[in-house]
Parts: sequence; structure tokens; C-alpha cells
Amino acid sequence: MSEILVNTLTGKTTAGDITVTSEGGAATMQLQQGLAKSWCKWTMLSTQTVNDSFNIASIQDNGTGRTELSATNSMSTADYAIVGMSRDGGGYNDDANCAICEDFTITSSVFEIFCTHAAAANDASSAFVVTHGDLA
Amino acid sequence: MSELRTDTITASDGTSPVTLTKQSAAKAWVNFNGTGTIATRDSFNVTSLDDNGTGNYDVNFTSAMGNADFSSQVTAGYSADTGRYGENLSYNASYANVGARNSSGTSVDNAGIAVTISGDLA
Repeated sequence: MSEILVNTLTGKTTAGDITVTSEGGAATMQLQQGLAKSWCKWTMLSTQTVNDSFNIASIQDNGTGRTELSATNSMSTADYAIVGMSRDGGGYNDDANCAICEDFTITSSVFEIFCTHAAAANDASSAFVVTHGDLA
Repeated sequence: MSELRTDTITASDGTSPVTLTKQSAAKAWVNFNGTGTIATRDSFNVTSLDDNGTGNYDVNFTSAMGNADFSSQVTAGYSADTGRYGENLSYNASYANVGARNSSGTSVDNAGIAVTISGDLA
């Protein structure tokens, strides 16, 4: 096995474009586009608090079940993919959900998550979100 | 600081994938509008979408996964309960069948669906 110890990887031809081989060897794809660009775990209970995060500068409580998340480094557009889940802290079979709030104008650096429990707005005990897309 | 500039990273045998220590990149993602004529807003490793009916879509991969046992995350947009729940319906190495439902559990077309795929490529 060979190992390269390095602090920074940069594309030689294009700085943001490094190609890697697939696990099965049948394809190649760009490394950067597969990397998550931000993630966050936070609680909506009481004063909303970030437990851990990556590339998230801050969160803001926008009402019951609603959290506005602001990125440290912006995406290149507002068309990135946002996926999330929530945990309400109740029973094991409780209905808890996390959605992308469409009533909120998503920008390249800010989006809002809306959590529900039993079909009603709910401050989740834990909420989780990951974004994928292209950074600016 | 050390910096490596390269266009392609491959394992030392010249063909196998390189190992990213304790890391795994997503293999596909898409943000799409699932209402009317469905349309991709942005994507990675997604060649097309199929509209299978109300709130039911196939996300077709450009480069296939190694098997159907990949991890898929689906989140739908919420607006006045036109939709709320993203769901995984079925899996194939070449596509993920996903859907959206409202709070009553009824399948609905949704304007803001995001899907991410993690696993091993073929």
C-alpha cells in the first residue's frame, strides 16, 4: 500500500476538478461534486443550539419547527440539494419529518428547514441536514 | 503547508479507487421540481428523471452503482401542505425510485425534492 500525506489537494488543470476512479472501476467521476458541502445537527428545543456542524455559520429560530441555516462558504447557486431528518424525542414509532421550506426564499447561503411531528409543526429534539452542490 | 496538484487520483495499481481516509463521497445528488413537466435544477451523476405518476419519480444515474444496496436520502419541500414527506420506494443499480406525500399520506407532486445517494459505484 502506498500513502500520500498532504494537506491540500488541488486540480492541476482546473483547481476545483480532481477525478477519482469508482469503487468497481467502471467509471470515473469528479471528487469535489461528491463531497458534502455542509452538514449540521442541532436541537430546536428551547434556545435552538448547534450540536455539531460543518460549513454552517449560524442558525436562527424562525418559529415552531422552523430553523434558518446560514452557510459560512456560499454555494454557487440556490439550486443545491438539501436533505434532512428529524427526531422528536417521543416514542419509537412517532411520525417525525423534516422538509425543505418552500415558503422561504432559498439563496446560495441560506435555507430553512421545517420539522413536523404527527403532521403538525414541531420543535425537533434533534434535526439533521446535509447539503450537496457546487461551492462558489 | 504541502499541496498536491493533480487531475486524477488512482490507487497505486493504476486502476483501483483511491481510499479517502474515513471519508466517503456522495455518488449522486439532485434537486428537482416534481410538478408539471418535471425538471432538474442541479445534479451530479444524474442523467435524467422519469415521471411515473403523481408523486413518483425515477432518478436515473449516469454511472451506475455497484448494486441496489446503496443509501438514498429523500427530502421534499413543504409549502401549504402541497407536500411534506420524501420517501424511498425502490432501488436499482441504475436508478432510485423516490416519491413525495402530503401530511395525509397521499402521493403528491412536489416542487422541491432533493435526493442524495451514497454507496459504491460499479
